[in-house]
Order: sequence, then C-alpha cells, then structure tokens
Amino acid sequence: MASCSHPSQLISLVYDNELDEARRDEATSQIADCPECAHRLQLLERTHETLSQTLDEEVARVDFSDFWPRIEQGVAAQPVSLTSQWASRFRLWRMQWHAPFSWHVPAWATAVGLFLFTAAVSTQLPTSRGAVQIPATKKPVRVALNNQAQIESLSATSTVLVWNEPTSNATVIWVDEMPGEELP
Amino acid sequence: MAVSDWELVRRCKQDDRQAFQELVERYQRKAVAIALGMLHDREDALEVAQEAFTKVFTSISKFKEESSFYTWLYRIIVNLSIDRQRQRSRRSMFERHPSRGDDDDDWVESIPDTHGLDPSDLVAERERGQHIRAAIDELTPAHKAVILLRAVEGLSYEEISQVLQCSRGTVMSRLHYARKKLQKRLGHDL
Repeated sequence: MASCSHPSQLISLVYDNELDEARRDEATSQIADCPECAHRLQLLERTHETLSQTLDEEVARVDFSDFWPRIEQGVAAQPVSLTSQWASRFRLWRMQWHAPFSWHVPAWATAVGLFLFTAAVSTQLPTSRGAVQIPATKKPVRVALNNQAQIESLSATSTVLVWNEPTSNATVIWVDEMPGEELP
Repeated sequence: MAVSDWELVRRCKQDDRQAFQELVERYQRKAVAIALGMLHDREDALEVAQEAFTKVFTSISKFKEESSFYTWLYRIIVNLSIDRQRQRSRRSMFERHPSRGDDDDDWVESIPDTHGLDPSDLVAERERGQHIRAAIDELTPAHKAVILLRAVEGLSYEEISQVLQCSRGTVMSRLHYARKKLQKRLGHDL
C-alpha cells in the first residue's frame, strides 16, 4: 500500500468526533479518497471495539451483589474527626442557604431592611424635637386642660366655651378656631 | 425520569445514603471496567472501585461541582489504580502475586457464554484476550488510562483532560501513542 502524506492524528480526530463540522466534512472526504487513511480508520475502530468488547465481557462476569454492602462497611469504618464534623456542618449550613437563594438576595434583603429602618427613624425624629402639632380641623378642638391661663390665651384668638359635665364631673372646654361656626 | 447526578450529589452532601447507593449503582460497572483495564485483576479492580466510592462518600462535601461527577470519580479510580499497581510491583519484587500466576489468567477468562460456541472459536477468543492483555500491559499507566477512558467510557478529550489533570494536547498525543502501540502489538487480531 502506498504511504499517504495525511497526518495520522487527523484520523483520530475524526474518529473521536473532535473536529468542528466544516473540518470534519473536509477530513471525511479526504479519508474516503485515500485507501490508506480509510484502512487506518478501520483499524482504529477495530482496536476500540476489541478493547471495549473484552472489558465489557469481563465486567459482565463480575458479581456485584456484594458491592454495595462492602462500600457501606467501608463508609461506616471511616473515622470521623471532630474538625471534619464541624467543617461538614458548616458546609451543609452554607449549602442550605446557598441552594434556595443566591448571595445577592440576602444582600438585597439587608439593604431593604436598613432602608426601612432608616426611614422609620427619620420620620420619628421631628416629633421628638418639636412640639406636638395639633391638626387644624373644622370641628372644635377638645382641650382637656383646666388651666385658666390657657383658656385666656385661647379666647384671645378663638371662641371658647367652658362647662362642667354633671355625669363625669369633668370640665369641657370647646375652642372654635373658625369664628362664625355654630357651637354645640 | 432518572434523577440527575447533580441532584444525587446534592442529596449525598446532606448525608442521604439512599442517594449515594443510587450513585454507586449507576457507576459501579464503569468504575470496575476502568480499574479492571488498569489492573487486569478482578479482585484488585473490585477493591479499588469500592475504595474509590468510599472516598467519594467521605469527601463529597469537598466536591465543588465545577466538573461532572463521573470525571471526579474516574480521577479517583485512576489514581487509586496507579497506587495499587505500584504497591503490587513493589510486592512482586519479593513474592509472586497469587492471582497472577501463569495458569491463573483471570482477565483472559473473560470469554463470553461458552454454550454453543465452537471449541476453535473459544481458543481463538482466549488467545485474543491474552493478546489484548499483553498489549495493554505494555502501556504505561498514563497511556492505559487515556485509552480506557476514551475506548471504554467514551469520554471526550476535554473530559479526559479533566480526569487526568493534563492539557488537551497531552491527551491527544498520549491517545495517539497508545493506539499505535496497541495496533502494532495486536496486529492480525484486529
């Protein structure tokens, strides 16, 4: 047989399916045109077939009934050190968190939590610094102060009505901030 | 639908013995085939495969899942087989291995079901087995591993490079050398 100039590595690459489609097509047509390359490829196929067939036959004769029990024994006989126990516990703990969430999810949760906390604190700050704001309403404000000075200062700007409730024995002061409106 | 290797590995990490048993049953034949190809001794191959699975279980929490489970398993088997081979060669310097005598051709007994086969076919089959064994024995462990992973397990160059922790180019050259050597040695058996 005339010796061909094609690299023998090419036959292996074709047989092992390690070439991209374009190069494989080119190499396949090259092999088809060259009797020596075709022979090499055939030889390669037979080598692999012979090898895998021989091993398959041998494996088919192996008795696997005792395989798993012996592994179980081997696993049970393995000494477990305290360090490795803690290390595996830590890995499991990390894995449990890592499996359902990615690392960015807890980071985002922390960020959102911090934002909400900051927002809550900042809304509380003005009330602790300033005086209590009494919202202006259309209805008269009910002031539960039995303080003459307070009544006098209120009556300077608003209409004030004071009376005693006989049932609860409490003094009720009505302050009308909108003059002209009818008092009860 | 079969459970994926990833799922079984994840369950093994949570100390699930049933998942581990499933992994063992899934890969036991392939594991023994590699060990058998490397060692050519049934008992040694079984021991190595069992030791490999034990190692897998004890160190599965360290498995980072960056590569496939089977490439990791095969790496352990190949390494253990090489270690076993070294131990055996050291031992054989002082004593003869009981299961590797001339008359006890364990690996060559791999003749398929003999019922209905012609005696001359049986002889030819036995001879062919002997030739294959001799041809593989002449290869170095690295060349044996590469040809077994390709021919028996059908791994790609990339996967073989992961198992043997070498470059793709090294895989190609080792495979080329191993095939040439086998073809030369087997000759008319092919």
